Amino acid sequence: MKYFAGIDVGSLTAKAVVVDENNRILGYHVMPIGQDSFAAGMSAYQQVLNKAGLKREDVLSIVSTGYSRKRFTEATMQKTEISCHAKGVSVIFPGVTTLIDVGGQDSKAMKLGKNGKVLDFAMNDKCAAGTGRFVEVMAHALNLSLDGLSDAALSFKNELSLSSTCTVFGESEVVSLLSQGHTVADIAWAIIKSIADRIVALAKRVGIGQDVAMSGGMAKNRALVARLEDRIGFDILVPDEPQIIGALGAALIAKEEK
Amino acid sequence: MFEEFFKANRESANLARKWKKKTGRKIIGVMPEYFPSEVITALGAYPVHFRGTQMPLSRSDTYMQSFSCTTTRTILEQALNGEMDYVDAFVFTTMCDNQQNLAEVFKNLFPDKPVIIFLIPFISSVTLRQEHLKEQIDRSISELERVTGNKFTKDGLKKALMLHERLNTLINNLYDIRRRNPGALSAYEFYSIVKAGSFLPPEEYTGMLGPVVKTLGSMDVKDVADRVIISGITPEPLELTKAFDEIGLHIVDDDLTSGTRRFSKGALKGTDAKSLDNFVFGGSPCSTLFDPSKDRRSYLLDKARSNRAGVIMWQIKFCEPEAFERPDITSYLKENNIPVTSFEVELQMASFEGIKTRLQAFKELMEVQI
Ligand SMILES: Nc1ncnc2c1ncn2[C@@H]1O[C@H](COP(=O)(O)OP(=O)(O)O)[C@@H](O)[C@H]1O
Ligand code: SF4
Repeated sequence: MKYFAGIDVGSLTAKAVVVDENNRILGYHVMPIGQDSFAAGMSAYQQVLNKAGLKREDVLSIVSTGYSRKRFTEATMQKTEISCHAKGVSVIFPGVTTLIDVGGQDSKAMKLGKNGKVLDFAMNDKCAAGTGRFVEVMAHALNLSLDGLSDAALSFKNELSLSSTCTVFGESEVVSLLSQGHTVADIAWAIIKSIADRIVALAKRVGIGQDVAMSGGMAKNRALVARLEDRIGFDILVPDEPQIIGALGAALIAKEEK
Repeated sequence: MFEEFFKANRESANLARKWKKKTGRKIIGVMPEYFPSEVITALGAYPVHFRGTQMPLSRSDTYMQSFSCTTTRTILEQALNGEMDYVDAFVFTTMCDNQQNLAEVFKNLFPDKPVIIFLIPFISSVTLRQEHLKEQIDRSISELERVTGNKFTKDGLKKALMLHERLNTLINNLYDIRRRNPGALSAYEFYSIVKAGSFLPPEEYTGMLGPVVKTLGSMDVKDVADRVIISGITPEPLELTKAFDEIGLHIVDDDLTSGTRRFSKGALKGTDAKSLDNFVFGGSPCSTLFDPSKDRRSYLLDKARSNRAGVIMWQIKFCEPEAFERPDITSYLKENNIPVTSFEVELQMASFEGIKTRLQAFKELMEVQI
C-alpha cells in the first residue's frame, strides 16, 4: 500500500492528514501553531504518522498548504489552500459547486467544477474582519469560549447590529454595548451577523450555487453556519471535521501528482 | 546585463542629481501619464517621471487623505523627504482626481517650484478636444521656456522627436521580444528596464537600451506555460513583479498606462493639434481617459486570446479610475472564458504574502482549466 500526506500550516493551527491510495483517511491531527510554524507542522505530521502506525519512509509524497506552506520544507510540493480545500471537499461531498472556507486569518469562496476543479475564487483582503481571528477577539471581550459564543448567539432575543467590521473597533464597540446593558447573547448574535455579512459578500463575488459546503475552523461555529444558511437561502454541507479539509485535499493532490 | 537598470531604480534621486550636474540641464518632474516629455527634451531640459515608491508613509499623511491613492501619497512622501530637491519645476496632468489634488498640495508645499498643469479634456467632440490640447501645450511650452530659460525652436523639437522616437521604438522592440519569447527575461528584469527610463536622460537611456534589446532579441525562443497579461496603471511596487517570477507566472504582455498604453501609440510626432491628440488619445483604451470610441473589455479579450493568457488586474489601492472599470471587465472576461483575477496593492506595502497566495491560486486555477 502507498501512503500520502497533506500538511496544512495555517495562521492559527497546523493540520495533518494521511491517506492511502484508495483515498481512505488513515488519520488526522490538528494542533495550535505556537511561535514556530515549521515545528508545528512537523509535530502534526509526526502525530498523524503515530496515529496511523506509519513511519516517514512509508509516505511517498507530501504536499503542504496553508498560510505558512512555504515554510514547511519537508514537503515534496506546495499548493495553495484554494486548490486543496476544493480537492478535499470534492471527495467528501461530490457535486458541491460553492465552497466557503473560513479559517483563522482569511476567508475564501470558491466556485467548483468536476472533481474539485476550481473555476473561480475570491479572497478577503489582508485584514481580519470576517475571519476566525475576529470571533476570537470578540469571544475574549465577552469572556466566552468559541463554543460558548456560538451557543450564546443562538439564544439571542433582540436584533442588534455591530456598526464596525474592523476587529479593533469591533472590540471596543462590544465593550460599549455591554456597558449599555445589552445581553451577551444579543451581542454574540450581532457579532455572528457581522461576519456572516462579510462572508456572503465574498461568496457573491464568485456566485452562490445551490450546493454549498463550508470548510475551515469557522465551519465549526454553528451559529455562523445557521446565519449563513439564512442569508443565502440554501442548506450548507459541513464535513464532520471541517478544519482538516485543506490537509486532506493536500494529501489527495500528493497522491494524484505521483 | 540588467544591473545598470536595477541601479538606476535603486538610486534614482542620486542618479538624477548626478546627471543634472554633468549636463547642466534643468530637470522637470513629470507626474505621468500623457504629458509629452518630448517638449521638455526639446527645451534642453531633462524629464524625470514619478510613479510612486515603496517608501513607508509618515509625513504625507498630514497633507493627504488616507483614501487618496498610494501612488500620489508615496510621491508626496518622496518630495517631503527631500528626494525631489533637484527638480526645477513639475508638470502634472489632470488624468485623475488624485493627481489634480496632488498638484494643489505641491503648489502649497513647494511654492518655489513652478507647477505646470496640462489639462486633459473630458469631451466627446474630437475637434474641441484637439483645439483644447493645442492650447494646453502652447501654454505649457511658454511656462517651460520661463523655467528653462531656453527658447522652444523647430530645430530643437525635431531633434527631440527623433530621439524619443528611437527610444519608443526600442521599448516596443523589447515588448515584441517578450511577446515572442516570454522566457527571455523575468518580469522583474523587464519592468526594471522600462522603469529606469523614468530617471535617465533620454539619450543616455536609449544608449543603454540598444545593446540589451539586441542581445535579448537574439536569444533562443522557448515557449512558456502559465501566461498572463497584467492590466492597470503601473506595475508598482516593482518588487511585486518578483512574486510573478517566484511563482512561475509569465507576464507575456501588459495593458498598463505606463506600459503598452503609453508606448504602442508611438512617440509624439509634432506639437500640432492632431499629433497631440494622437499622443494622448491614440493608444489602447485607458481608464483615465474619456474616449467613448474605445472599449477596454473587447480590447483585453482579444489580447488575452491572441496571447493565450489569463488576465490579472493590478489594482493600486484607491485608484478610482481602475476601480470603476474592474468589476465590469472582470465579469466580461469571465463570461468569455478568460481566466481573470485581481489584487489590490498599496505601494508602501512591505509584505506581499496575501497577494502571492492569490497569484499562486490563479496559476493553479489556470493549470486545471486549460
Ligand atoms: N469548536 C469551535 N467552535 C467554533 N469555532 C472554532 C472551533 N474550533 C475552531 N474554530 C475557529 O476556527 C478558526 C481557526 O480555523 P483554521 O481553519 O484552523 O484556521 P487556519 O487554517 O487559518 O489556521 C479559529 O479562529 C476559530 O474561530
Ligand atoms: S491613475 Fe490611479 S494610481 Fe495613478 S494617480 Fe490617479 S488614482 Fe492614483
